[in-house]
Amino acid sequence: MLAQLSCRSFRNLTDTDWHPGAGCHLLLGANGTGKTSLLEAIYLLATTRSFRTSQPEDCVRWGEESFHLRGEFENTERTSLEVGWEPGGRHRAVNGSSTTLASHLGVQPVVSWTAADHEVLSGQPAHRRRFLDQGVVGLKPAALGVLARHRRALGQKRELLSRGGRGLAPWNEVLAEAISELVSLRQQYVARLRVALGRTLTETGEALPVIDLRYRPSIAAEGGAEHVLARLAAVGAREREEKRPLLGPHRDELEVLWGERPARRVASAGERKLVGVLLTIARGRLLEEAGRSPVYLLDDADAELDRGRLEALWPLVAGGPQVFVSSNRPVVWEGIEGATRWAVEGGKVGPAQGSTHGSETSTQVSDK
Amino acid sequence: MSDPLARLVGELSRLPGIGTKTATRLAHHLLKVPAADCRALADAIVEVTEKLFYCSVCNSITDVEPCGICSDPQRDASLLCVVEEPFNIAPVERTGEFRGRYHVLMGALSPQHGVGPEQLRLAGLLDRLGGVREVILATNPSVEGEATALYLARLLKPKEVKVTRLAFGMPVGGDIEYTDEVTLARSLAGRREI
Ligand SMILES: [Zn+2]
Repeated sequence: MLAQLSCRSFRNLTDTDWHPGAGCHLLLGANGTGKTSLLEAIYLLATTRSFRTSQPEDCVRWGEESFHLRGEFENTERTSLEVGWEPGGRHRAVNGSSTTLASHLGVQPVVSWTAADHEVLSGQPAHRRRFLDQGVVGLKPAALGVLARHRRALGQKRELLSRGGRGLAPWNEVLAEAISELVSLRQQYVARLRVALGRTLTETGEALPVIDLRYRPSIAAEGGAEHVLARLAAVGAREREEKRPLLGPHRDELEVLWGERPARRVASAGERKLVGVLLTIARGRLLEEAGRSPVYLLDDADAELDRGRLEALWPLVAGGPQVFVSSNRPVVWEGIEGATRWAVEGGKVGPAQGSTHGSETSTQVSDK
Repeated sequence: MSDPLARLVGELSRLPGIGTKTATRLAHHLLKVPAADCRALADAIVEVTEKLFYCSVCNSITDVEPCGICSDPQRDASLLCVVEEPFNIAPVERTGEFRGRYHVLMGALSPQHGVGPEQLRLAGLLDRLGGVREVILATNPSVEGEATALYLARLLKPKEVKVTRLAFGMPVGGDIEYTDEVTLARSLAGRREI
């Protein structure tokens, strides 16, 4: 759980020291006031990556040279995370010292649904593979090692094929080990996520079409590394001809089904948003079951959802251990209970006016 | 670049793992150091390049030809440990568990760095197999080190010699250089035929 967040020169946020506390937080404000930046700061601290940009310097406030984020997280123990960027490069730290990426990611899992995640449902398969791998690493940060080995071996093989492909055998052999591990990790994750998703669907009590996931690996993992190697060897001549790797996890597909057909083809924007929020909740529940209590981040939560759907989803969303929900339509949330309301204005976050909720008296905001 | 400071920064930043930022910091540090210490550093660099060379048998770094290990009659000539770089020898030596000789490949396969079998010192290795009963492949537990070991295993297969690989457990993308002695000794003892 995020206990305290400090931002310096980050995006359009005023330098902030925020103590949000446990439970559900509703961030209300007009577009461009800093709601998404707050969620981005939390995401960036926990994952070391932004969901809006691959260039950390984009996060530096206009006119400044660097930014720095620091968060205090309370789980089984209290841990501080820091992430920042300055012209010399990016930096990150756990409890003040630099460490491996896996141990940074091990501190605070997050699950999120933001504008960027719409691509998971409607975009290229690469977005769904990334979604899968984030889930795999969320449950098991050590899986980063397998992902790194796979990426590296595939990069070497790609280079070799572009140069004619002589001497492919040892690379396929190294790759086969990584592929068989990665595919079974993805397979196990999808199997568990399907169960969690089924349970989440039942909890909504909504009459919805079947929402399901189907993982289609380019090479099945059942036969182990030897089977993978045989498949790679069989396609070697064609790979040399086309000068690129044709089989493997870089060609896997994850189908998200809405009524037994791919959601990206048949579901409306509102239906896809619903699927996205349900998937996010299911991902979070999996982490909770594994004892890795996540922070839930839902940007523009009510956009594309009608009031009925929002009310059906709300108990599931608000029940998370710590949830941050943003919206630019305060009126939609009138009468919806169970959240601490915050007003975000001009890059500042503070208790919402006229809020009747009690828990915010224990939280405080101070601008440095 | 006539500015001596810029020249020093330029030279330092050509070293592996040193960016402009670190090079600048090192250069400014050297400016504060007594001149005698700077001269000692410069002399050490020159001495290394003038007095040391690669052993013609195993490619390790030496000041005598052949190197101390290659010429030591106490070392078991029937055991050959293959490593990527000359600096990979010292960690294996520190384990105290290996009494054979070495062969340095001077690299590992890496298409992305333009390193194929032609760029490795393989001919010398094949020439040395007479009287060798076991070749231990001690390339790094990285993707490149693994691929190199697999390539060598295939190459040595027809040569009637036992070929073994260090047992690192999971390859973690590491480097023999950073593996502690106990772990390395265990990998050596647990080596498996491939
Ligand atoms: Zn020698």
